[in-house]
Amino acid sequence: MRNTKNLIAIMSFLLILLSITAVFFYAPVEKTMGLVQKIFYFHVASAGTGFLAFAVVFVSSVLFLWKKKEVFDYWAYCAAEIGVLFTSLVLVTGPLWAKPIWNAYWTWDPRLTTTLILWLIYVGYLLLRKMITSPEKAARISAVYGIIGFVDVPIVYLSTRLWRTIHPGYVMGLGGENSGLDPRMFQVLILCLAAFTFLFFTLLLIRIDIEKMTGSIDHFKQNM
Amino acid sequence: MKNLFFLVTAYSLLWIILFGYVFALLRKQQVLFKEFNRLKTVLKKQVREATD
Repeated sequence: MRNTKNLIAIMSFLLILLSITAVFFYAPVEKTMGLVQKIFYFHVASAGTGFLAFAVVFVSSVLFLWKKKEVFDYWAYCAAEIGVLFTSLVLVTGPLWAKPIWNAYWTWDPRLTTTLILWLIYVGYLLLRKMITSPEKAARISAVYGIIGFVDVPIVYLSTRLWRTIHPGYVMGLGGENSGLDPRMFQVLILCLAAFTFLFFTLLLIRIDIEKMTGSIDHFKQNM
Repeated sequence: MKNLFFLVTAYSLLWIILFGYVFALLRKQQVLFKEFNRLKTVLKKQVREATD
């Protein structure tokens, strides 16, 4: 298990190095936006990884309510924290890309607004866990919250199709080859997504270890 | 040139936040590991004293 963890960590580190190199030396410079468009690669990769994290929260929460095993609660809690981290990166890099292109850091555009709501939902999830003192109750209530909160993920994804928006449309999934993205840009985007996916699992495994260790120490102290 | 400022700021913030989180996690893990070992030593000592 330890070897697998190390392997995933090394893979994520190498993929991050490779993806940064690819962003600056392989991907072509976009004609209209220029160099600032290079924010796009890690902005979209952060969003994709955030979605993945919240999907892990959703699945783990369902499994926790079904199987009643503590380990699924750990997975959900840790994935939610990392999901908030990646969504924060989306909300930081997005406005810095928007300012030179839209001439505004922020607009109440459907994609931006639903992403902000998504971030607030999962910040609420983390706060809720801290506020409830009984661990069993916190796990049960946050599992239900994690399942309901996931409803916003497809809304964020579909927002550019559901409403009129100035945000660029799909580049992944429904967009596919019709996204208008240069093939080299698309390859670099996939590489960045792979790097962040590996990083997500590295962080998740470390975070779960910490959670388990905290539980063991508390248990130790209670029995002393 | 102005665009370059936004690019550099975005990338700087991205890696500062990410690596800040990674280092915070590793530090916390280290602190917990030390605490865990300390408690184990205390417990062993208590068991030894009780059996003596």
